[in-house]
Amino acid sequence: MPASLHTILVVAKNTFRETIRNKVLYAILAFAAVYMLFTLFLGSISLGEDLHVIRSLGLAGMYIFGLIITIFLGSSLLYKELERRTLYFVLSKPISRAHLVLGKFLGLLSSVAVCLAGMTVLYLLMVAFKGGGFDSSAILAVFYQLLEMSLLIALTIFFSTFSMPLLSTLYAVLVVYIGHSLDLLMQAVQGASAPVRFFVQLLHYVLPNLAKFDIRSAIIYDASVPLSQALLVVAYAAMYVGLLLCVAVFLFEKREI
Amino acid sequence: MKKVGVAVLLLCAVALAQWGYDASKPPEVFTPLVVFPVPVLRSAGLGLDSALASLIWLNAIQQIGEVYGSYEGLIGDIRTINALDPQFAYPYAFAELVIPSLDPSKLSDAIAIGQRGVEHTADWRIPFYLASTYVVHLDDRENALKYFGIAARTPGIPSRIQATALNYGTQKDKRAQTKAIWESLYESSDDELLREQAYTNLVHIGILEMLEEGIRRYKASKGKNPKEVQDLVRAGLIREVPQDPLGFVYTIADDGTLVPSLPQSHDE
Repeated sequence: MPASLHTILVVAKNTFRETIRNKVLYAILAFAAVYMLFTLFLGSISLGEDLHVIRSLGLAGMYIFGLIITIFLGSSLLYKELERRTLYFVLSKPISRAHLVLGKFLGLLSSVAVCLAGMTVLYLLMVAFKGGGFDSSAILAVFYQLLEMSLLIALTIFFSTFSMPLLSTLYAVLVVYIGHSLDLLMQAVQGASAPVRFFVQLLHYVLPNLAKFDIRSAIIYDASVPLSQALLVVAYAAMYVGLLLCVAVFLFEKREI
Repeated sequence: MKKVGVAVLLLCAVALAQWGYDASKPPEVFTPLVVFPVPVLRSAGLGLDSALASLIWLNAIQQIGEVYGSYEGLIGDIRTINALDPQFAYPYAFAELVIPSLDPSKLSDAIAIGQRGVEHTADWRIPFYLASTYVVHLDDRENALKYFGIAARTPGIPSRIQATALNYGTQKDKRAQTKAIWESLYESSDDELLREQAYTNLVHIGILEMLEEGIRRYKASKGKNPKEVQDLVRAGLIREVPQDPLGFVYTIADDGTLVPSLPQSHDE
């Protein structure tokens, strides 16, 4: 294994340990579990639409709690190192800033993936308990969600190279909202003037368009997702993550510590 | 121990204070949840349209009759649900089943909801209830035939309901009118599916007429009713028992009435 990859994996392992030991994370996960179990009750008062309600609200809950975990852990990741001054110690070792950023990304992605896996198991058990069998298609929806989360982790790391955790959180939330509204925005400006349409089109292509990671509705109605589209979505996420991490490394290397 | 006693005492006092507060409050007036317009919900909903639709549905069914007063609010909620999650079938079926009976002034709204449901989902309940609405509330047999036909072709319809849908309008007293409706649909429609449906139903009615005529002639010549349709073949009144395009098999009741029924394997 190349030395740089080994270094990245060591940082990732430590980041994973650090984030997974965070007590607030367990509080969020406990809330997520209570919410997921509550959907069983909501299903029971839905006039026979139990499975529909459990599936739609369950997948939505996994998304919302996954989002909270990602933004909560991601926005303070680098800042904490600076605040505790542990960064000086880390960078005095043969670890470059690029290794640190990439390691942090992989470590946090692993933590988020583990949390999502836990919620998915609970969701699958609930669906099976209500007679829906093994909801294998939900795993695809969770995979898409993980792609979105990886993009958001890269985004929060990018923001945290130049801003405080609170501002990073705010920026990340704004990007999530804008990212899910870009398609609607495009529809809204169809009758607008050419410069406005051009500006919105520019945003549409440049900002992270997150609507493509949402296949929950298709999954609820057992619709299939074309392979070509799935590959494009994976490629989009990988390229955007690569872009954000490159810029984050560049900014972090320029930063005076 | 003393501390535990104080804590329990304080807890009881808190519960008592809450009880006193509740008792002193004026009775709460239920107000319906304000549901924002669909574009607002979509832009704020992070793509969780289906979950939002489920929540509005849960809210709507808890408040029926209690808060809405009229069914305007319910119709509005169902329209919002349909717009957010067009494939969520049950709200369409529910609207079609409940609104026409509870508030006949909202009949056109219920029909519009049902028609949208037929367009967006493959749930037999929606066309079946829609056809029933046309029969019961509007006596519109043309549309009833159309939607009973769609319901009968929808996968998952139970065989008994399928038989009811397919047999609609084939009773002797209404058959001529039904036949005329199917003939006009066959001649006037450009919709291939509808034309095929009209043709199949016309063949079905033709078979019913042929077998009933056979029974009548059998009784006239033999002085008794045939026991089964094969008796008509044996008596030389028909060449063979025709195969029904809708899948019906035919038996003959003791009084000579022809009874069409679907075999059990037609389930699903």
